[in-house]
Amino acid sequence: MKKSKGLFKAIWKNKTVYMVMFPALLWYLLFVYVPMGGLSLAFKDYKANLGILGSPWVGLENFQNVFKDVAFWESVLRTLKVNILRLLITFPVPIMIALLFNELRMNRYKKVLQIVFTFPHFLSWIIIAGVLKNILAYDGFINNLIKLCGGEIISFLGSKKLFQPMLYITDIWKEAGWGCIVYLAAISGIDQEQYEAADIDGATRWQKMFRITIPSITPTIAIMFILAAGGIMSAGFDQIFNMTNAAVREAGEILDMYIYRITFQATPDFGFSMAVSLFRSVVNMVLLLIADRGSRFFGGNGLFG
Amino acid sequence: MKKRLMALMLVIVLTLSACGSPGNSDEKESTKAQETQNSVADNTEEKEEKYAEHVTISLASVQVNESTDYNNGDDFTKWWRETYNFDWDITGLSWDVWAERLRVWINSGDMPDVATWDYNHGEAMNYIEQGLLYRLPDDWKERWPNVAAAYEDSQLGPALEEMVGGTYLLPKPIFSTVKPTEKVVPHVTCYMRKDWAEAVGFEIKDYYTVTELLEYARLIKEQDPGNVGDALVPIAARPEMALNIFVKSNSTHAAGGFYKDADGNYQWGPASEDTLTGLQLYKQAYEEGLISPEFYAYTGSDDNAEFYVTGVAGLTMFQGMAGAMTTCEKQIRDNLSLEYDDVVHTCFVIGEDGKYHSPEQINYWTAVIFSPNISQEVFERYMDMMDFAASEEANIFIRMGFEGVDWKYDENGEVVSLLGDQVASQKYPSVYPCYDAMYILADEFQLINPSYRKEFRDRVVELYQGKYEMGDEESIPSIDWDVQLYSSDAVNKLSYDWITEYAELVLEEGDLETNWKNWIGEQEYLIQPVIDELNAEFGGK
Amino acid sequence: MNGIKKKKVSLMSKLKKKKISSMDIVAFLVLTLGGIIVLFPFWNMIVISFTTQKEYMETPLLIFPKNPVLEAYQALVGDGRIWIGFRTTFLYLLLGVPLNLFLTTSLAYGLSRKDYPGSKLIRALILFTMLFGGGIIPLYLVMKSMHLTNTIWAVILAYGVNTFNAILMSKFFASLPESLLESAKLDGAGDWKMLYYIIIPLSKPIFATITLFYTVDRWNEWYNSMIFVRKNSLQPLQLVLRSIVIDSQVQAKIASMGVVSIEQYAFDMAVKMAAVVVTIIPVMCVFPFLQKHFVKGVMIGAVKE
Repeated sequence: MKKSKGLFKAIWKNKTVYMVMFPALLWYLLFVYVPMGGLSLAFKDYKANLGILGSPWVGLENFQNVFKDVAFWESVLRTLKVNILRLLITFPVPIMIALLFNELRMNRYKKVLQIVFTFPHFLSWIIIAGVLKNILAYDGFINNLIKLCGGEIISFLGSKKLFQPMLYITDIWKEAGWGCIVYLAAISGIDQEQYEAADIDGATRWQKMFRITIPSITPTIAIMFILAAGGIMSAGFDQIFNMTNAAVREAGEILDMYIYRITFQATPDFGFSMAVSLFRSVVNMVLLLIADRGSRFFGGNGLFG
Repeated sequence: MKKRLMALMLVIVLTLSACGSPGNSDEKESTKAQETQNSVADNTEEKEEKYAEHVTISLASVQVNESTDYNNGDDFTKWWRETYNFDWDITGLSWDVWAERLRVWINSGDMPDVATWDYNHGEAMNYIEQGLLYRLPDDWKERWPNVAAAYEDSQLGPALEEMVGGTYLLPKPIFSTVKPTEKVVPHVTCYMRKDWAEAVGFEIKDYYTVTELLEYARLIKEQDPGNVGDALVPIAARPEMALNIFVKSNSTHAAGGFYKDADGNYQWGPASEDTLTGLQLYKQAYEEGLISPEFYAYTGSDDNAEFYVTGVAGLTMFQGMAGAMTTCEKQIRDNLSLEYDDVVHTCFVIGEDGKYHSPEQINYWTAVIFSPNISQEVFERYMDMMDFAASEEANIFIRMGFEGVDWKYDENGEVVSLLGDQVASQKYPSVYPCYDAMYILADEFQLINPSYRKEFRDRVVELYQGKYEMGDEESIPSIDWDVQLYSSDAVNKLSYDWITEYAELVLEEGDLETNWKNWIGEQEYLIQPVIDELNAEFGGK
Repeated sequence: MNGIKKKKVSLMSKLKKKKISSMDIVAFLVLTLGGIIVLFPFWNMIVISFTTQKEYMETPLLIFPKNPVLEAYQALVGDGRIWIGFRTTFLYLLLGVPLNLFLTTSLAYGLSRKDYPGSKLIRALILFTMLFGGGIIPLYLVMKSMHLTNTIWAVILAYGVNTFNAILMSKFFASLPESLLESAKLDGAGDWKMLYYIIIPLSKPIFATITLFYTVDRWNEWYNSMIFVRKNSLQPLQLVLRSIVIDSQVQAKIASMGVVSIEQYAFDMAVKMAAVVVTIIPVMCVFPFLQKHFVKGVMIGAVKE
């Protein structure tokens, strides 16, 4: 009794916080949580005429069907392999670029370069795939260069071994410049006094970078890493979808490609695809929690430190 | 020679019948096609009464240009709107998202009045069962006889109707008044460099086995009659076309079909020996460099472009209709400064057994569906319009425009276009997508459309008939409706991309036969249940 | 006091400018090289948009078109659709981005504080939405029941808060100096005042970043429009470009099928690339305006004194 009174008091005391948050929470309720009811389709046989609520429950049948499919498990393992490697390889690049931008002193040039670096973000993968083909084909630019130097032609487009490295490289090309914006913002928020103090102590710029800049943006790096870890199961669909071909398909058959195949080529079954995406979300959640705990373990703040 | 003559006669007969007999003047007067927008007044009174209520028809279709005004944009659409007293509310569905948009709307119970739907059997059964599609009134065939007649030609419509006991969708027939062969076969055709074949001394015929084609490719590769050099691609084929050329030409059911063997047991096409034969030839072509070393990286119609844009290919395969030949002619002239007649020879591919292979094609492409919430007025109005569109008079009206303005009969009673290089659908942008494919598709008119060269139209019919004559009941089997209209969990789960699957097998290292057998084995857990179900339901002789 | 310090700093930086350290060289070289790698395919794309199909196919890598043609741009502009697209997208930006910023700020403020009852629960619920979703059909039904389908409001409201952005912003809020907020509280500032008079003015870098993110998301938006809006006159730029590009691609493929008449045939690769150029130009014009907020040395240090 006493406790609940205390709670009420605490709520009343903070009433304006709730009021500030109210519009956002209302939005989440209406446009995210009400449709969230669709998750129940993973346990149902969706009948449009009966609606989501009225559709009959089928228990775990959808999951049984999913887990029975050999192709499903193969795609899950491949997704983990491809995207964990992707995370480890591509994640540090934007941080490095942001740090270098921070150190570049030619201001005009810096501004121009920053814009240039964000360009590729605006290209869709379908376009990039087209250009890549032009550059990497057996009669394309790079192979002509290799031929000129007397080398052997490399089949960039048809090699299963090269497919995954190509995914990482093109991913960096497209997103690293854009990804560094977050870190640039974090860097610009660093208290200038620290640098001034370091200047007085006669620190070199490398020292300042490692002792001031990087530690100051570590919280941002941690959040970005945790969030990226939570997207491991769903990363890279658009890229692979556009870059794949018959010769390398196997190397790129990730979970989302599997879902695409299930939803778009066969007769669609909402229960089945919802079961797959629920599974994907759960794995993402586990990965996110692991990353979050890991970050705390190493002294970071975690997602909601 | 005899064949050629027959084809010629057929075309003449068809041309005459489709154009209506011009000598018969009272019939001529009454056809709606001849009403130009000036003479709509003729029977407006009767119409005004029937269509007193103004309606708005919402339609979702492919081929819509979002900036075209479909209500007032041109005289053609004006004629329709004045005649039938309605407004369009049109939604464009671009090709790649077509299925997805309609699927969300249908499943949310919120589809437009009328839609062009890419029919999928499992989905159709699902929608019909749930009442998500409008069921046409039982007497619709009497009320709209032209639609009903064309509907019979679609094959799918009546078969589905018999199965579910009602009409829920109207598949659009490809051929209705004009049919090039008794059973419809695919029109994809090989385009060969005639000048190159002659230069290397390769015999020009209407059809070749794959082995013969490979021979041609080898000769080209050795002698390079076009002096193309390194860029030469003897056979330019993206995986889709390679599948046609090498595999489907040998194996009737290669694309995942289920068929009955001699004992009345169901078999799966990809597992047949013919498929292996085709795959071996495919692999041979790849390994010998007779197709592009990166044929799997072609996108769009890159492969065809190597034939008619850069001129580095000795053979390619694409659509075999008069429109396609016209495209090819124009491209070759623009890009290579060559004349189609001097350098191009069209032909088709037969199996190693000397027969043409392809299951009979169901004579439809997409279906008209109606919203279950459609109002009676809108439904009836649209059906009236479709009924007119499915009439013989409308056929020429829709494809060629107004008589006297866009076309006329010449002194021999033949239709002559007055639009020069243009076709009616360019003069009137509203023709797509509202009217051109309203019910009967435009394909059949290509066989008789005077805008295309007569040589092309004749050749198309020749090729159709040639294919048909080279097959028999086994290599061109009739539609097995039991299988076509079978739907179950096991069958709905099958989703293969045949083009990629076969290309993968060809590209895989190691022995093709072993790989193929392994692959068949891997699919067994999906395929065997379907075969068991089919055998239990329809097995036996 | 302040003025003297500033002078000192500028003097020091002047001194530094004379000496070129290894850092300068590394930053310059790496970023310049990166810029070239980014621009190279880009130049290729621009060139392709001016080339004929024949030249494109015959030249391994185009550096400059021999006979530049404008066909692709004519196809794109003459199509008419692109103007509809620009108009709609402009509306999305005008109405959508302010809403995004308002909702995100209110949520971020709530997330940045931990001292009210239910803060943990709210955080967990918000985080949950990053990982789980009910799919498109339930959301469609919600929009339909609110009579929002076929209006731009469906598209604007469907994307209210990007949880990722809200977390970034809340992290920035949380990193603001505690003492500042405490002193404001002592002065009797409520939550509203705190947010609008103290926090927001201090958070310019993150606002610039988040504004950029939302602007780009709205600019690129097409999926929700595709599902929720049927009117042809309300299609956004990306969807319109998409249908132009896809149509040209499909037309190239089926130009011969009889469904499409031949003169509509266009070289699809060039049209695609022209579409890219047309989409990027406005972005290039807007970016420099936002960029000035990324510059280093925001007032935080000054305020603290």
